[in-house]
Amino acid sequence: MCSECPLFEKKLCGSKRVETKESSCATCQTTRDAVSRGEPLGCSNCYTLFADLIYQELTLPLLCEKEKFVYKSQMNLEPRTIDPRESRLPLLKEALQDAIKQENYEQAASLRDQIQLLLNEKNDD
Amino acid sequence: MMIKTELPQTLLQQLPLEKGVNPIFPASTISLRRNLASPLFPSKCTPQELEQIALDIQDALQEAHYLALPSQRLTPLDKEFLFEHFLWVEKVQNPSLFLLDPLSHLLILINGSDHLQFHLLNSQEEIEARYATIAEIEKKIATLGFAFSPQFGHLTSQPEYSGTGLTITNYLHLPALIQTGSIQEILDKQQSEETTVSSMEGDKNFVGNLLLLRNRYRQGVTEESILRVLQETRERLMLSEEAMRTKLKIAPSPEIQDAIYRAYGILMNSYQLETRETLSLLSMIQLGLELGLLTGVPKNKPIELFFTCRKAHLTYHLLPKYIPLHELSHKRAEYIHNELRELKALFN
Repeated sequence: MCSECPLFEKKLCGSKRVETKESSCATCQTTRDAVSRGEPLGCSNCYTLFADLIYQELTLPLLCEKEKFVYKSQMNLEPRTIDPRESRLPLLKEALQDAIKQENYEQAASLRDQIQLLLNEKNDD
Repeated sequence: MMIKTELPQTLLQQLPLEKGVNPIFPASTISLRRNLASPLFPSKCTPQELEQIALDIQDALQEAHYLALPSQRLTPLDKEFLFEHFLWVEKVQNPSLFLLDPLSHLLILINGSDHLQFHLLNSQEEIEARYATIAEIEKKIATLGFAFSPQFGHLTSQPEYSGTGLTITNYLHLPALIQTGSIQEILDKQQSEETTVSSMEGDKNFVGNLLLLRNRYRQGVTEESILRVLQETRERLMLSEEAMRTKLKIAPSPEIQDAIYRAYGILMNSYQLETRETLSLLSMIQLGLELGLLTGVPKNKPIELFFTCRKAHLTYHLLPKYIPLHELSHKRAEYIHNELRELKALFN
């Protein structure tokens, strides 16, 4: 947790209400109290107005690294299809080692065949 | 008494999962939430505004020929059927409109908690490719503009869904790991901090030995990394389950064998069966088939029954006659007896 983390601040000071902040949204009339009770937000403007409460609610470990707490989607980008083989191969190899260690030879043989099949498929590509 | 329904026959006759599902990883769902850039989210809109939003979305999706099912025309049982069919486990605010794709794989809720919630059911292993499908449809609606902030990403009525707005749920059937008590150890070792697991009911009792694996975050992560982390954790859990099943084949556990034969006895001889109990028993039957203790039906048959023995599916399966609630557990038992009539126990 870093010193600027809202979670840290909450732990130190509690979630006391900041009186100087606006208590309701001018666009949708959602109140600060309603948001702190976990009721749904009424409009986009609420995100600006109640940003402090929203930061607190999103109790993410990622919050502690503030620079990471930004939206990271690839809007307007084509989603790339991940080749499942890329991650399956190391996992199968790892499982094969485990099976050999545990002397589970039937499982090891099945894993060896699966690895071979993947490697063949990759070579064919 | 006859049941009236607005749901299309193609949907009612279709199994939630395609034939030949993977008995360890039978299904996954992709859920994507969006709000339009209009001033207010659904809970604050007037009925007229909600109607206009629904019309705008339908216009944007005109070419896709979705079936529009207005909420007020659907009975509570119709809605329950839709939620069962699409393996919907989250709480949902009553939407004003449901849009159903012609293949009944995608359900779009209009004006529920958010203006749009896409929910795609997938019984294939290629979630990544299916995500591209949902992204294509989203792009068509994006012409209307989405509520978006550079800081929070896509804005949803519940902040926890803001960011990517994406929730991917993998349904994993892990009887060997759960029944041998190894699941916690495996999860401690294999589960990424970026994922979360629960049962269908949200707790950790894992009814039917079904474990729901989903992404924990929607902020600070890309869609691609959500897909990758889930895929990796899923693969690890599947491999661990396969390894445990092999281990049980080589060195059978008397407790597991007993549980399988008891499940067989109860399932085939009950007069009444409740849903939760049925799921747990079917799961043990599937494990019994895998371990060669039972035979006579395909290995994934019990998994298909997981999804068809629930209340709304069972009721519509027994159409056109309406089944009173108190008779449903008896009808479920009859249905299971009939579907598994070829099942045989192989006692050593």
